[in-house]
Amino acid sequence: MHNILEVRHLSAGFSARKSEVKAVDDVSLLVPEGKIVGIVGESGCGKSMTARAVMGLIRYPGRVISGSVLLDGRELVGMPEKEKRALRGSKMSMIFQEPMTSLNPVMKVGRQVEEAIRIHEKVSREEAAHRSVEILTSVGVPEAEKRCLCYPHQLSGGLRQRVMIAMAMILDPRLLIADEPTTALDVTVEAQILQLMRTLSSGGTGILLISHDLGVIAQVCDHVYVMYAGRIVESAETAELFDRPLHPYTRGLLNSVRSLRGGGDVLDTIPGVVPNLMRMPAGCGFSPRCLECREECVRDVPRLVDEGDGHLIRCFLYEGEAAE
Amino acid sequence: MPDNDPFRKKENVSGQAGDRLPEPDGFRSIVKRLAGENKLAVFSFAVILLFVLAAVLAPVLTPYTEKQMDLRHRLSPPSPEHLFGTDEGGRDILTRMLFGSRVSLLIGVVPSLVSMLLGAALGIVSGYAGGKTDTVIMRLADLMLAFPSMLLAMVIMYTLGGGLMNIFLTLSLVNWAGVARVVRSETLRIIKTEYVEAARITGVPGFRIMLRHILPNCVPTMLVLFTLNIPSSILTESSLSFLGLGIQPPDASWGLMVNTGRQFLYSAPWLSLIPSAAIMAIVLAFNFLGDGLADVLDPYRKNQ
Repeated sequence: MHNILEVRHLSAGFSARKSEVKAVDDVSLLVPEGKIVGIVGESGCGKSMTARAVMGLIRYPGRVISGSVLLDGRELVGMPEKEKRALRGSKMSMIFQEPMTSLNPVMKVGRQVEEAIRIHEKVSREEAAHRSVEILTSVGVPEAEKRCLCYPHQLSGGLRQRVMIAMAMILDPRLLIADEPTTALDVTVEAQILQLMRTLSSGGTGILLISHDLGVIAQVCDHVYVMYAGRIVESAETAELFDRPLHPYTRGLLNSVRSLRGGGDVLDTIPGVVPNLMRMPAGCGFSPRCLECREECVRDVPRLVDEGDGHLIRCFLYEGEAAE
Repeated sequence: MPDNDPFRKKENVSGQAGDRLPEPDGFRSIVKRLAGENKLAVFSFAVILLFVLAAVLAPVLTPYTEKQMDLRHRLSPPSPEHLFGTDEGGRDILTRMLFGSRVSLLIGVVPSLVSMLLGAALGIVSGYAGGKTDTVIMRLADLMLAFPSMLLAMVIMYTLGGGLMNIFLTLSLVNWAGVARVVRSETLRIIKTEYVEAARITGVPGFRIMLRHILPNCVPTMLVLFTLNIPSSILTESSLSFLGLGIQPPDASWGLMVNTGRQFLYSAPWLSLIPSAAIMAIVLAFNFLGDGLADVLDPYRKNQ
């Protein structure tokens, strides 16, 4: 299977005074053609930073520290800004969490979609307008011609997110990064948007879906990466991950959801919070919250090992087993 | 999206905001809201309009010309022939006021416009580029702001001499820094919004982002700044003319008229008082209009 996106040992972070803080630490992931790949994790674990690093949009003073990002085999890290700009929108694009603020409030919706075309292709305004109506219709915006003349505040959240998707998809990019695309939407609209993403991926687009919602991940993703404190702690096919979660963190996440379904009185939670980047534990990032924490967990960072069938896991509980 | 989407119909009948058809959200609705909420601003607008009309129609409205002397009727009090009386040269005050309002209005609008454009361009570039460019432009602006503007204006006028063009130049130079400051801070706010991010992700080049995405979102702020800049320009011109550095006699300007009338403040008070009242009226009118616009254009109130 051809990989559209290949991220290898990517580290990104901020230089704070003299020390360097890594928000993304040695992350490797693959997005194959026509597949939806999920990244799941709590807030602040480096999901969005990974996405920004791929797009080359990390804001100063953040930066990519090391590693490589290959889009269809082309190296993006260190590519001149001008070349990257040509790729953004046409070969890779991204949609955000907040459809309420992702559209320019003083620009008509149609114009914003047209802009995406006219930046990358030399087409007449009529042609661009025609194509944007077409794509808006195809992502399920009713009466697209009329909607094109609206300002963003005149559209509902679901419609705005559809417009965002239309803008992202209009040039048929190879890679779509969706950063919590449904978090701000209600459940019925969420289902429609997820359905839409599935349709897109069946057309060959590789989608990297970032979410903290395991329900969303379970519904649409083919493969899942679990991130914690900037590192990938577990990676597996979706069904495999949900059937056989190995990492204590993944199990904790799943239990938090299952306890809802089980109808118990007490919600299972993972005690504690994601560690501050400035005060990251020396060993495994999850060790302070882990119920099965051992001595070596506090001291060393575990390696990512294969537990069979490409099920990768970064935990000393399994590292020992693999060695035996 | 396939046509059998089960949710789509629901969304259509639910009467959400998305189903409303586009309503005009342009000039007209702004005027409407202004009229509904702030009567004072509308009144001020009418006053300004009246002044503009008077300035344009000056030669038609009066039988005299601004420089026509009549030494037999020097310093005559208001009368049916001379509604506002005459000055020390027997010139009709009303006529001189009408012609003087042309100067005052021009001086209000032109330098404000120039400093607006200059300040906006520098402010946006400064905020967008950041780093060294930002530092250089902003330190330059600090320099301008740190200097007492009246003193700076006087120095420039002394060096260049009086006259309309030089006043334009002076006032533009004095005012751009404040505008640049405000526009820069707006830019810094807008640059962090997701729609600018989205534009960058679409591959929109920097210049276009500044022009199409940042500038239009600065316009409400700039409009308010503009209406508040006008009266300060008018006042500065009046002060300069009052000090003898602005418009030179026998040309008429309100500031100049207040100055020449000063000598006759006890014998013929109307010479100074009437132009002073006019300056006050127009300055207040612009200020009230600016306040009203600021309220109406505030995006937070707009959404309610």
